Amino acid sequence: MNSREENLVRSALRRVDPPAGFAERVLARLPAEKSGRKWYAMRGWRLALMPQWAPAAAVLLIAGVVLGSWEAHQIRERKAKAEQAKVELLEALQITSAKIQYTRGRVFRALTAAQNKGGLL
Amino acid sequence: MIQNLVSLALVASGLCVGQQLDLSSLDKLAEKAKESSVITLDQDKIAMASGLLDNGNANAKEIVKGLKGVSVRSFEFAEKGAYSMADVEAIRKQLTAPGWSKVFEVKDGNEMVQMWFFSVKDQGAMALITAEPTELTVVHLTGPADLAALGKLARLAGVSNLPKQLTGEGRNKDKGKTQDDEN
Repeated sequence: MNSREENLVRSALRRVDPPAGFAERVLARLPAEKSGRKWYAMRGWRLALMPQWAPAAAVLLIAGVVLGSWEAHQIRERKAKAEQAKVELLEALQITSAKIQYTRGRVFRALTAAQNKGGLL
Repeated sequence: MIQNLVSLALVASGLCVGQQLDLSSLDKLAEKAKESSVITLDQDKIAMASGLLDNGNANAKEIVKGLKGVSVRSFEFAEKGAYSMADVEAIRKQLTAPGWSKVFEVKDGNEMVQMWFFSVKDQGAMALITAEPTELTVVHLTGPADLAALGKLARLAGVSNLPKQLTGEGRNKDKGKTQDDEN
């Protein structure tokens, strides 16, 4: 590169101050600033049409779905526990009934034996 | 005055706890047992379970109405001598608490049956211990102090008249009832 070319490059790359009011004019042309919407709400025409309460509604919807799933899980869990309790209760009653019948047999045997001996009764 | 109140509260709390039995000392036997049932249901669980009892379980639904707790420990062993009476002793010791009274006890060789009732004010309970050479069962029911209500289970099995028979009261009549119940 000779000195002429070097000078041309230097002159092309030299710092040039923008004209007065340039920044204000650029900002004034930004559509987001005009509509008062956030810049990230303006990406794409669908998002541009989205009302401002939409993010809040989405959060509420997600929260609703999460809470609904959790509640459904709780109901399923309660039902499973109740089923388990029912099985245990019926088993407990069955054992109790069987053992009371066994007890009855033992007591009658004891009473009969006492009676035969001419003792207690 | 304060001392009297404190001692009264202690006695009252003792009686409230008195109907409760801790059967957990038997739980270790489950490892040795061929078959075992370890069931502990409190009032909440009983309420949950009874909500699922349909018309097919009408008897059970009626029985559990007044129940506040059900605990069952039942073990069936493959061989004799798998448990000792020392295992049962921890339970029997609790049955010496105020409010408990032994309804009857039958000992016959290696077999033993004991039935206990607890009744203090509106608190009631029943405990049944059956010890056979290869089987050990402890049943503990808590509910109303009304023994008739607790005896519904016994009626189901046809033994509601046991205490009367033990005292010899209305023997023939009771015998007839029992035969009916058996049928």
